[in-house]
Amino acid sequence: MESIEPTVTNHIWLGSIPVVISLAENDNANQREPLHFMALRCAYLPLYAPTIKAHFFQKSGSTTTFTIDEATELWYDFRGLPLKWHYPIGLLHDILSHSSLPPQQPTQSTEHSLIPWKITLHISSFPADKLFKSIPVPSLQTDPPRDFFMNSLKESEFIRHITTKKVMALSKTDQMLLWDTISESVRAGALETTIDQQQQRAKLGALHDKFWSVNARLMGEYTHDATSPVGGVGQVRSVAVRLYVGWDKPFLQELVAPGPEITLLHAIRVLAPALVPSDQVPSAESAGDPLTNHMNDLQLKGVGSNESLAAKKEFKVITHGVEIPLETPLLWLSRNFSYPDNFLHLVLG
Amino acid sequence: MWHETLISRLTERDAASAQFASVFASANANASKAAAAASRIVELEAQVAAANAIAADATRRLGQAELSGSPDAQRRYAEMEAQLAALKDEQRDMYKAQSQNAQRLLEYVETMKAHELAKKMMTDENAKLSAANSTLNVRLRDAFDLLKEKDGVIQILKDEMAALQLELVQREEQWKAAIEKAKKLEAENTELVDRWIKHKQEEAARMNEANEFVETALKHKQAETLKRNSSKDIQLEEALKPEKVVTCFPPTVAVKKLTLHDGEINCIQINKDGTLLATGGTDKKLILSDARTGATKSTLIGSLQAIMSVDFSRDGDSVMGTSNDNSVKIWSISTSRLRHTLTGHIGKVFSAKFTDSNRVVSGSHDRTLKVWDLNKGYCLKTIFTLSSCNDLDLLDGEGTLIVSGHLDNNLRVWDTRSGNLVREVTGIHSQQISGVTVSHNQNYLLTTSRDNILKLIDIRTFETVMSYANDNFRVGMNWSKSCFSSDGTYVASGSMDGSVFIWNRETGKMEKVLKEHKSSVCGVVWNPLGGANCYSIEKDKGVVLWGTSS
Repeated sequence: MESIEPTVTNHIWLGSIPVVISLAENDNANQREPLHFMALRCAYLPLYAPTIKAHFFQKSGSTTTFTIDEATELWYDFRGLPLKWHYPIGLLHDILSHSSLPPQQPTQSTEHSLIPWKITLHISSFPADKLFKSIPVPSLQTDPPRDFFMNSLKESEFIRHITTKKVMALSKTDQMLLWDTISESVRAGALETTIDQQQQRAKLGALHDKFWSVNARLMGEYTHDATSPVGGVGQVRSVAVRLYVGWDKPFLQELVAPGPEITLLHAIRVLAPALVPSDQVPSAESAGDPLTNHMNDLQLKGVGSNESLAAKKEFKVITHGVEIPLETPLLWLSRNFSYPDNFLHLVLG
Repeated sequence: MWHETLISRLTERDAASAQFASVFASANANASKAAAAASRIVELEAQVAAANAIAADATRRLGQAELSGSPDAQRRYAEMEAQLAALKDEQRDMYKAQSQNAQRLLEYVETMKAHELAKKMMTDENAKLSAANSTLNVRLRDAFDLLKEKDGVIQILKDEMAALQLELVQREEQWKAAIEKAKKLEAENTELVDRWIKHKQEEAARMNEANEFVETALKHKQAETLKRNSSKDIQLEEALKPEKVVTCFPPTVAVKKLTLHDGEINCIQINKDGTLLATGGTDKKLILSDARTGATKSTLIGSLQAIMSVDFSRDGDSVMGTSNDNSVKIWSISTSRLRHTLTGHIGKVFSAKFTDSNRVVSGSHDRTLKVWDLNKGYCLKTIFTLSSCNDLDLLDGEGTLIVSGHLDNNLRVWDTRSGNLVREVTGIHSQQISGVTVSHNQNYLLTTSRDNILKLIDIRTFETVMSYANDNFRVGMNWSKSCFSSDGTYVASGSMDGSVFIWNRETGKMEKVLKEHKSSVCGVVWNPLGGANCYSIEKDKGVVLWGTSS
């Protein structure tokens, strides 16, 4: 149960959130009507900037027109919190829906209360101390959203294989394809409503297949052999996983060794030991230690009663808007539930 | 089980969001419709405003027309008025033109007058010019006549030139004949020269024959004298033997003090009889003086530079001086005439010695030793020593073995026949060797060095037998020389402070210090007749004759 399941990854790729964007009160535009659209969970906010600009700044009639030039930064806030555009949209939504917000913000109690997601658009007073600039600089040949994505991809690759050889070995076009399929998906998803939904899904599905034709090379060779020593050539050394515990808290990231019997619970035990008392997992104290992990694999086979443990738990783990059962194998999760940057972005609720 | 759970949860999630999709789509469609409608309204409003503006304009024009009759009459009136104004303008222009014309007329009259004046002047000038033209024509005709005359002269000159050319050709032929004649004469001349040379050669051959005859005759004579001399020598030796037994003893007092030279004295030598002293100095003179009285006998001049060493020939007839002018000069004592000048060294010649066989060995600062034959008067052999030679002496009377002291602190022994280095004695001195003297019995060598030590060296083994030194003894010159006493009992040498040191040869004990000189003493010789007679020279011109008492 460690293979890539296209049906699952297709679900992940197509996952979207209804978003309502309204203009901030102190900003002016030609259109004050809020914009409604379905945002892909795997995409990034700057990719929607053209759609948003088209809506708010299109010329209509002879009324006073507000024009914005290319270099104007668009930024968004949710109840006064500036949204980090370098997080995938799904991750932002998950964090804001499930984790504790700063004290002055009322904590959301229910999962669906943020659907549709109402966020505010700003075009002035960019909070440079909290956000990165996302506008490309042509003279430097940079495209910050793309560069952030590629860096994140290389980071996850390094965590998995202790080398970025596989990413670097990709041809330039293949590397570009990973990012381009995401931006094309955004364009396909933002198409006019006249195109019927079936056609849209088919188009997104085709882009998903294109993305995985390349990404399978990075995620593909997961054939974990229990008899071969951990850390062999081409072996997966660790799972690229991050645990987000709050909006204003840094995420937790530890090296979690993979294994056929390693489940999500083991990973949480490594990432946030305080959450999982040792009595919940008989041999959990060593589950994340790559050296002793393998020794304990046999003992861990007896952890079939995880269901009862999960029942007792006081926390839940959410990604892509769904709660993940704690007994889900970590490797399968990593391969099927990772975001396009190949990180497993988990949110603690 | 978790798998199914996840799939179902994903489906649930998608379903939840999907319902918004259609709502959003329709909302967006409505929104765009509303936007289109809004823009349409704006457009229509703009049209209404334009129509209103047109209406207002029409109303205004109507009012105007009502105020001032029919627009047609109004227009004609205006036209007439305009025409009137135009005509008035025209009239004004005409008046202006008329006045201008009058003005211009005046100007024209003025200019005409000026032109007339000019015309008059021109006519006058024209008359003048035509006169000049006629005179010029006359002159031109004259010039043509002159030209014709010149052509005649040229023709005459051409004829003359042709005649000269002819003459030149004749002369050339004469010249060629003369050359031929000269060649003939030259050939005759060469023939005559050949004949003359032949004649000369014959004459030379005859001369050689005569010379040969004289030489053989001389040899005969020499052999005879030698025979006679040998018998004499035996007698002499017998006579001398007892004298040699008479030991020498150190002098005690200066008998005489002389000033012979005008400059510094560099060297002293005494002849075999003990009667003549020879001294040489920087005043380029070699002075012979009586060894007993100190009276100057003759002054030998000819050297171009300072004289560095002197030596008497074995027969006592010649005296030799070596000079800084790179030459060795030999004078006859009886006639005081220069006999030989040996040139060939390219450095200062610091020492030279006569051999028994009428040869000379010289040592120079050009790092060579040269052997000269006085019979022939040229250099027989050149020995390359690799170091400048300060002094040399003969190890045997024939001069087959010689010893030389060098600037590089070493002593070298040479075979003059082969020119080979026989022995190199190194390490005996730490400074350059200024003097080398062979004892009278030819058993020992005495070296003088700038390291202020005299060394006695056994000629058989070339090992140091004795060293002579004293705290006050300092060798003053690069050419300072020491001597043995005639019987070999003592060793004498001069010091820089002007004193003469006398050591016992065998014991090395210092016997006496004679203080008379004021400046550095650079040479001491002992009278071959023995006794206490010795002679020393100092740098500052003085010569001292030593003895036991006056």
